[in-house]
Order: sequence, then C-alpha cells, then structure tokens
Amino acid sequence: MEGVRGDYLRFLAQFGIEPRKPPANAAELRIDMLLRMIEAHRRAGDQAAAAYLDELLAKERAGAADEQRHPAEILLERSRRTVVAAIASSAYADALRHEVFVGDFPTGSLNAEARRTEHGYLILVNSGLSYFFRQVLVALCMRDPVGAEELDLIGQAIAAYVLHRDPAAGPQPVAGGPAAMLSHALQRACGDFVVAHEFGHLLAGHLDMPAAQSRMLPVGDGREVPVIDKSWQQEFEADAIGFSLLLGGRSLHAIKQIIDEGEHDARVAGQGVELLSALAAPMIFFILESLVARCIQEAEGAQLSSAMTSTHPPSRDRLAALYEESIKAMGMYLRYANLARPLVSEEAAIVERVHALLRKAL
Amino acid sequence: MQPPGPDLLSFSEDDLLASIGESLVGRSALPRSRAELIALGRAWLQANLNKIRELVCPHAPQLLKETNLEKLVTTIADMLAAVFYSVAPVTVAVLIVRVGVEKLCMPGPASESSDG
Repeated sequence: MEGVRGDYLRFLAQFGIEPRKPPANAAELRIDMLLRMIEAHRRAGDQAAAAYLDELLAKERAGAADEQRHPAEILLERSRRTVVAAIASSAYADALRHEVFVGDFPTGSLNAEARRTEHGYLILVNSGLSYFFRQVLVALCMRDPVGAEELDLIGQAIAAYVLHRDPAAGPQPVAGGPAAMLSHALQRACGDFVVAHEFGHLLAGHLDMPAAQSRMLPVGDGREVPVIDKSWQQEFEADAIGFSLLLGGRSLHAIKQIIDEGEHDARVAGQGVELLSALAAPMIFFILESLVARCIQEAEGAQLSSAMTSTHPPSRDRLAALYEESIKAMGMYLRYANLARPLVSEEAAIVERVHALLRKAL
Repeated sequence: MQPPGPDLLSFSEDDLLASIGESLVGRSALPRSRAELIALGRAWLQANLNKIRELVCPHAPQLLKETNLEKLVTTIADMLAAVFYSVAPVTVAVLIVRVGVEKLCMPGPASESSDG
C-alpha cells in the first residue's frame, strides 16, 4: 500500500488494529432503509421527498457494490473534502503542499490527532467521537427544554465512555423530523471542527517543527515521566484556523447575509443551517469536553488526570479565546449554541447521574 | 544507549505504559487521560510483543545473569533501538525488566499475563 494511506495502515498496525470494515450486508441494509423511507414519504403524501430518495436509491443500487469502506471512513473523507475546499480559497492555500489522509482510529476514544508521516500527513479521528456527538446532540435536540429523560441519556453516554472507553457501549438515541435534521447538522459541524483543528496544526507548521522539547509530566507521588511538550499557544492557533476553515473563510458579515437569506429563501436555507451549526460547533465541543473531563477526573483521581490535562489549555480558555472578539457581533447567530446550555445549567445533575451509574457498575 | 535515570526504574508498569502511549500519539485535539494513554501503550506492547521476544529472548540466558539493573536495561534497549523508533527503547526496556525477562521469554501460560 503506497502513499499516505499506506502510512495510515502502518500506524494502525503498530497497535495491532486494522481499519473497520462495514458489515457484509451493508449495501442491502442501506437499500432496505431507503425503500422504507420512500414508502413512508409516499404514504405521507410527500412526493418531493420520495422522488429525492428515489434518486439516492438509484445511486445506491448503481454504486453500492463498489463501496467497501466503513461509514466512518466515508464521513471522514467528506470532512476532509470540506476542509480542503475551504483551504483552497483561504490564505493557507499554498501551505497545503502534501497529501493528507483523514482516517478512523478505531479506539473508541473521544479525540483526534495529527502527525507528519513519510508520505504526507495523517489526521486520525478516534472512533468514539462521532458516536458521542450523535448520542449527546440527539439528546439535546429532542425536546426544548430538555427533561430528565434526555439528561439520563447524556449521563449514560458519558458513563459508558468512562467505564468502557468507548461510547458505542452506551445509548443509541434516535430522533426524527426537525430534531434529527438539526442534530445531524450539528454532528457534522462538530466533526468537521475537529478535523479542521488538526488541519490548523498542519497549516501553521506545528507538525513540521523539529521534535518538540521534552518536559517532565507529574504522574503522582512526586514522580515524573518525560513527554513531548505541546505548546498551549499552538492549540489556540489551531483552534482559530480550524474555526475559520469551518466557516469557509467567510467574513462574519457574509455569514450573516447567507443565514438571513436562508430564513426567506428555501434554496439557501440548508446553507444557513450549516453555517449556524458551524458557528456553534466549537462552543458545543468545548462545553462537552469540559463536562467529560470533569467526569473522567473524578473517576480516575484528580491528581493523575490534571497532570495529563496540563498538555492542553483548559476547554474554557480555548472557548474564550475562540469567541472573545466575535461573540457580541455574532449575537443571535450563535443561537444553536443554546442547545448546549443544559450541559452547563444541568452539569451537577448530569455528573450525579454519571456517578450513580459508575457506582452501580463498579 | 543512555542508561535509564534512577526515577525510570522506580516507575510502575502503568507509568511506563502511559509514557509509551504518550510517545505514540501525535498532536491531539484534546488532552488524553492517563487511562487512555495506558490503554494505547498496552495495545502497542501487545501488538509488538512477538517482535520484542524475537529481539530479546535469544539473549535471555546472558540477560538473566546480569545483576546490575541499569546495565540490563541498557543492554535490552540497545537490542530494541534498531527496530523501535516511535517509542523510547529505554522505557520499553525498563518495562521488560519490570515484567521479567524470564516471564517474557518463557513459553506457556506464565507468559500470558504480560501480553495484555
């Protein structure tokens, strides 16, 4: 296997793992799902939606036999294309000189990372991230205001992660109608932000700098282990570049204009929803990360975990740095971020639910 | 190969696995918890155990006679250095010494616990 994809396969092999494969009957399942959706739309009299899905069905039937990739890989490739397209029209267009492969790192973790490889760059998105975004965002979009049932789901998702290191072991909530569309748009935006953040490191040259300085990391009992130092400033910089790419390099004025037009023109409404999701995605991501970090710290022991978190700035600082200058100007355009409000206002209730589940399991 | 600092020899197995895990991850979006780093270090060790055995076990009789811990670690690290470059060979060598060369190289159920 040549090129940067080969580097990806070799990286996974270091851990004795291979890329995830779709189930043998994946194409059959997709076709079956489309047929059921078409039937439901026809029954509901929504001929336009049925016709749209008919087209998807024809494409699926034509190409399904060739699709051997896991859905996670397809989604990541879509994120890569979105970010690369934004880079092409940005000030960083000349900085992208090597091949970049965005791949699934099937560890269940909620993280992503970037590294220089022999043939280019690898951006690895841990498999737990998309599961977790779906679990929490579906729960947050189900009802307004969210109730005990949704807080239970969020608590279960976090507890599954703390216990099993993989949110796939947790709940799989399903939403329908507008809640499904909204949560889907936010999931994509959050996933794209993570990938764009890693591209941010790449474009800023952080991955090409000589081996970063080693520093000592406390592990408890006054002992320390040597680790590579990753500057907080570089994390802020990658966040800023990632956010800008997520917004397609558009000015705030241009973004507002598209969103406003979408309110009155169905042809650009989808783009408006995407931009509203993109504006809110980093905020939702950092609020979520902060909540999960608190639960992990309390489960693992504050001393050990806080030593590890010193490798990155706290999420609240990253959030403040990212929105510091623009938050007032964004105003109502940040309204999707309100969906994450229960993660803050109900934090104690969620943490208590996580603790209760952990006590029960241990 | 530089001898290990006295601190490294006092590390627990989990500390050493976390150190291996940390050296394997790139520039991550979020901080990694200690448990996650240990899991990554353990996965790496498990995936590379056969290769480590191939490099170390032919020399087991000589290694088992070595009573100076620092010298033992340095000798094992030298054996690993040519093959493993993404992790610090000294850290892996300390881990091997902590687990025990005999346990690593002895076939049968006694060596199974070091696999995971």
